[in-house]
Amino acid sequence: MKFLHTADWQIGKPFESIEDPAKRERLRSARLESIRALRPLVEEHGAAFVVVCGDLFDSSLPDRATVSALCGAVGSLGVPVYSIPGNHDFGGPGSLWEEEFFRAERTSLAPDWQPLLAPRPHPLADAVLLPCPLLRRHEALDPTQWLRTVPEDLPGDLPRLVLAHGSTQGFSSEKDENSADAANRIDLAHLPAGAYDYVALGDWHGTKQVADNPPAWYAGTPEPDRFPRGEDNRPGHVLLVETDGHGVPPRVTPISTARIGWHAPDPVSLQGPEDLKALAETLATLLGPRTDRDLLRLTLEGALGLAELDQLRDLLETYHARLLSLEVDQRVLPEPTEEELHSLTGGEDPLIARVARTLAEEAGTDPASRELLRELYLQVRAHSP
Amino acid sequence: MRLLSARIQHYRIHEDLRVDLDADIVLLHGPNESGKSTLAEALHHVLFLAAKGSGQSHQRLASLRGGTPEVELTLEAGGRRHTVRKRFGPSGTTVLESEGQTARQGNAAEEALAQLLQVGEAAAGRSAEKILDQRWAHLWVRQGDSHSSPTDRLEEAQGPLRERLQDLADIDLFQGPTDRALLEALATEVRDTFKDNGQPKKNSALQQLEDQREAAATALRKREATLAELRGAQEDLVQATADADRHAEAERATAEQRKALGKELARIEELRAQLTEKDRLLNDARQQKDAVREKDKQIRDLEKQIGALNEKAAPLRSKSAEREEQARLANTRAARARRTRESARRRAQDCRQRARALAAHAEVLQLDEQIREGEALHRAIDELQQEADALTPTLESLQSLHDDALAQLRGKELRVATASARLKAYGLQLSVETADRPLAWNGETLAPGETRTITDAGELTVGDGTRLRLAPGAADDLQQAREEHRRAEADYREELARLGVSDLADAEAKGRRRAELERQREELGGRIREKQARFPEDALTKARTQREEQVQRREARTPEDPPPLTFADSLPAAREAHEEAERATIEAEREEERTEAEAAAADADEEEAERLRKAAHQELEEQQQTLQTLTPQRDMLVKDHGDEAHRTAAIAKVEEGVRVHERAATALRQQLEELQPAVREQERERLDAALQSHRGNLDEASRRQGIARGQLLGHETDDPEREVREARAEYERRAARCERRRAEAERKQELLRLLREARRETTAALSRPLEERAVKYLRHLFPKGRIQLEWSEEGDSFKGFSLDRSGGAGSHLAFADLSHGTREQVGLALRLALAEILAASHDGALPVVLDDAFTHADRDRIEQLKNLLFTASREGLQILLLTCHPENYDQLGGREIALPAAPRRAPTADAPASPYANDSGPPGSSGTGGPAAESAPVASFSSPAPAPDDATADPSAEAIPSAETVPPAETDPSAQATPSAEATPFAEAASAPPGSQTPSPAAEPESTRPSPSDGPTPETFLSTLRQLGGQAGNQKLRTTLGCDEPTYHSLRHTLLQEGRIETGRGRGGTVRITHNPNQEPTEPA
Repeated sequence: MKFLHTADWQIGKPFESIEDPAKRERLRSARLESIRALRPLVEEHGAAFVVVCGDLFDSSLPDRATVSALCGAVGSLGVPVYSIPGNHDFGGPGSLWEEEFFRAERTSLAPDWQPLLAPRPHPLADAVLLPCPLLRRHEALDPTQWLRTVPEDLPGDLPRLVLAHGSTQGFSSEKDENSADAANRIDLAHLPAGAYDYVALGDWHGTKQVADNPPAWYAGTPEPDRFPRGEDNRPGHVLLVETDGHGVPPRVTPISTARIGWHAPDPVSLQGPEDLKALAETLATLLGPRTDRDLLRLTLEGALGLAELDQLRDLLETYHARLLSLEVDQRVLPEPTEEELHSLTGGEDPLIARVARTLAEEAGTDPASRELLRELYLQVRAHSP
Repeated sequence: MRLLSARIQHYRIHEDLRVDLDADIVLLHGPNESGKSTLAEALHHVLFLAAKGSGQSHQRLASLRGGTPEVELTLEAGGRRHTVRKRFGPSGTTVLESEGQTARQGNAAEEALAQLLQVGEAAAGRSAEKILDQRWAHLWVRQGDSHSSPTDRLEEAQGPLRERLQDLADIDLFQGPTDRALLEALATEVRDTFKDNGQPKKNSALQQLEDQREAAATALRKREATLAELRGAQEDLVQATADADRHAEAERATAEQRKALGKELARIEELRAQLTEKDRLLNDARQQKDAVREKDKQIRDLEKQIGALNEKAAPLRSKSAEREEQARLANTRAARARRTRESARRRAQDCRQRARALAAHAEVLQLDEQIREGEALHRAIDELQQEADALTPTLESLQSLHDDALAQLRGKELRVATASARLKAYGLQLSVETADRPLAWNGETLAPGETRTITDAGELTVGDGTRLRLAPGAADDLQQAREEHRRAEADYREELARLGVSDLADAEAKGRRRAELERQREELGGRIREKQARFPEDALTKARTQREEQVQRREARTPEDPPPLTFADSLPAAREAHEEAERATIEAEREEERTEAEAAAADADEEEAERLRKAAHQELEEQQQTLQTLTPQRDMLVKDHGDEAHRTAAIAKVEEGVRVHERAATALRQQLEELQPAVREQERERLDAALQSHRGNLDEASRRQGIARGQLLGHETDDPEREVREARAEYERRAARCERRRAEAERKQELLRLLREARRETTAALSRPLEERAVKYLRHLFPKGRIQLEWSEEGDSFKGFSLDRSGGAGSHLAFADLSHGTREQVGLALRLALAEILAASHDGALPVVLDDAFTHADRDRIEQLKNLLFTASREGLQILLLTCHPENYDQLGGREIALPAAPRRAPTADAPASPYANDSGPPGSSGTGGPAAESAPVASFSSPAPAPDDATADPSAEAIPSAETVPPAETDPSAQATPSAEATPFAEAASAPPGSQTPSPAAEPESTRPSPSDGPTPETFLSTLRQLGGQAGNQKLRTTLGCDEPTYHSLRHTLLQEGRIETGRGRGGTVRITHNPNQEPTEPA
């Protein structure tokens, strides 16, 4: 028996740090598309159902359009879908899962979708699901607590699949969002040995196996939603899980699903026109002719002449337009070249020359003077007759 | 440039006027309307107004007498002598004859002249007036214009002036085109962006960004509030749901408890009912028991009482008999005592009677004695009365002669005597001493020794033949006196008669007799009264009455008491008997008292015994009666309730019944106790309350659920979490953009400040040469005064200036704020400084025309101004002073030209000399006037001006103006050398090629210039600079080198080009030796 394990869709994530609303919308719709894109995988691998381990919605109060869109996407998968609420879309009284509109849309658009909202065994024909839903944003108790004692009357032969959402030792999405760390802690070590066959986890966006017995995996988000945070964290997958019944270890295969590129190269040091040229080439290699599919975070250091700074600005503006997002940590210091300095101090304009000389003398120690010198350069260029 | 001479024809009031102006100072004077200003204007016009023209400017020049206005001016400029001749009018002509050049005419002449004067083309056409108004306005002070600022109409001169100042300050370029554009652009932008207080302007881009940021912040806050509200609603719902579940569970559990408790409570009620019934039965049994016992007790009590009564009867009877006997004995004792008392009473009574009789007897004897004495006294009184009565008749006869009557009589007698004396006084006293012949008064003879008072006129007859008529005086008074006397006499006689006396003496004798009798009678009366007092009449009567009473008392005795009484005869014996009787009485009374007491005691004993007897008797009676009452009662009860044994059995029976009921009740009570009814009931209350509370809480939780659900339903169409995040990101973007914009604006602001500061430093350096020269002139007015020039916003022209009189900081006064007089004078100082600066490009000389320029100056200032003007003339300026008060300028030492009051008529051929009769020289003919025409004193001032830089560098340098620059003067200081020196440059200049480059005044002949070997070389320049520390200001270095400005700048320029020196910073401009490591070791030690 095969099924797909996924989590952390976070449909409706606003990507608010991107200024352009159209680009934000592009990122949002990409996340939805990645759900619809699971259909071919389901078909290809003959998955019997899909489990989604929390954070299907980005918000606990999603708007109706998002609710409808997600129901539509889930309905398009063609197999039953079982989900639990995560910390983003936690369950409980007043939650979206209880809302009339959601229920109606789910019934209408995704009749095979069954959100599991209570911690009790959910037997299927070929497996038993043991959901550990989050019923509030920050659950102080271990959501898997109820499984520390093996529930009675479990069918002896069916694989027992635990669905949970939260942090395990060393893996937490909350770390990234500086929330309370103590909440939603899952202690896998407390689960009775051999009682369960697979722990399907959600919350951490990377794809990662975090325990062997029982095998516990974070599926990660199918569509990355942030810049990579190190080698270990590789989002952009779903897991194909194959199981042969209770007591038989399942086979887990990550399948890549990412479509949007999130690039965060190492800091670049710019010391002159050659470095500038090299940067342009690096970016061209990294991003190719693609537009509207990548996000880039750059850290620039070093010092450039005033004209070079202008060139750099032009280069960055081009990519700013092409990319979904360009974040630049601009630490390049303006350092006028001899020639530039001379153009200010040696020209036909004694007043500018005088001011430029003074600023140049102070620029070594005073960043403000450096900025002023650059401003003067720009202004002179703008106002030369 | 200098003015040498002029001829003015057909020009307004001047028909033909020639003036020789070739002097350093020319004082042109004349009365009002004499044409001074016209002359000044003519000079100005010939220089700057195009000859050809028909506009207002030209029409105004026309002479009243006709003829074409014509002005001819000879001047010295560009090292040559020139004569310009203009005939003004629609077909005006211009001729310029320049020494050593062909004469030019028309436009060529105008152009050449403008070039010579370094001004724009000659004023013509419509704008002529405007151009004329400005042209050389700083040098040409017109009448009434003296207090205007020299910087007001400086437009045309700004360019040349700034160039000159740049040369002087060694600033090649004042500000470049980009400088200017950038300053303007930045100023505009900063002005558009910031208010004065540094805040962004309302409609500035920066403020718009700030507004957007604020709007974003507001939106964020609003959305955060919405989200917080919804999250709160979510939490409320969770909490309310949990609460509702909890309360429902609690209600269920409580209801169960309550049900169980209900059963127990029913059992309790049942037990309580049983117990009540049992208690009632017990109570009945107890009452029955009590009733039986009560009757038994009654019977027993009665029997006890009857027994007791029977026991007491015998003693009571014996006691009663005893009391009877005692009463009888007491009765006997009392009767005996009463008899004894009666006997004592009688004896005492007897004694008292005897004592009373004896006392009365003694009293009778006493009274007898008194009566006898009284009777004796009354007899004596009677005798005395008879004696007194005997005196009474005599006294009565003398009754009237009491003292008052005597006094009255004496008064009357005195009145008679007085009247008589008065009569005598009024009358004539006629006394016959001796008479030998009979004398008769009114027929009455007068005997010798007779005296007569004559009171009436009468006739005194002496003898026979002699009759004398006598009449006393004051007949009326005499009459009155006589009347008086008569009345007194009658009165007196009447009184005597009334008193029965013969005269006063008799009356007095009888009066004394009366008084004697009175005294005797009084004495008798006294003696009678004394005796009466000793024993009054009624006392005797009373004594007799008393005696009678005492006698009766003595005789009054109880007839049956026989004891005989003997009455003593004497009083003492009687008294003693009485006392004896009294003593006996006392004794008898004592005995009486004693028996009285005894009898009383016996009576009391008797009474007590009787009482006791009666009591005993009564007690006995009562006891008997009680016994008779109780016995039937007892008999009745016994009859009803049986005898004792019967009663005891009945009692035992009811008591057993009580005990049975008691045991049953106790058992019930214990059962009830075990069920703890109080605790159960409290529990019931608690549970009921809890149930109610649970229901209330459940309702409340449901209500909260409803509210929260309602709130949550509200959002639905949008995602508040996403909206908050988007709003926050938007706010952060807005804020960052705003900050970037602000930083950029502030950078621009700072750049503007820096550029302006740089420009301020430049303009300060540019201003300095002019300010220094101005100070040189100003010093004559304000020894410590300074001038500060103000530059236009663009920084390329003078805008105005301010004066600082005392040289201290911060005491600047704008020119416009000065008084008229000070404005004139300070303005002049600046004009001269300007002229001096500008003169450098006009051969070192320029004319300054002052038309009536010191109308506001007082005498002291005039004196100071003279020094000032003199200084200016020494600096090479030509001063043309027009005034109607030449006497003010006596010591100025210039050439004087007087204009006549009346407009001159057309001159005759020989006339021109006459107005200048005072002048030492003949008037110069047009175009040919030479320096030789000048008088000696004037000539001494017309030597070439020293280089202006010397004068400004150090005030002391003024004292030796030509020491450095004109070496020949040093070798030949005589005054005569000067004219030749002046003549020389002229000749030289004339031979010099046109367009000579000489920048210094033409008066400085090239031949007198220091040869390169004499002046500083690049090497001396450098060595001097090293001596000054390798760096020095231009001014200082040049002074140390002792060379003029062109030489210095030429050297400096060369060395700069070669890179051996470089310019440094500093206000006045500095140079320093280029630091070349290769050259340094070779520096001279």
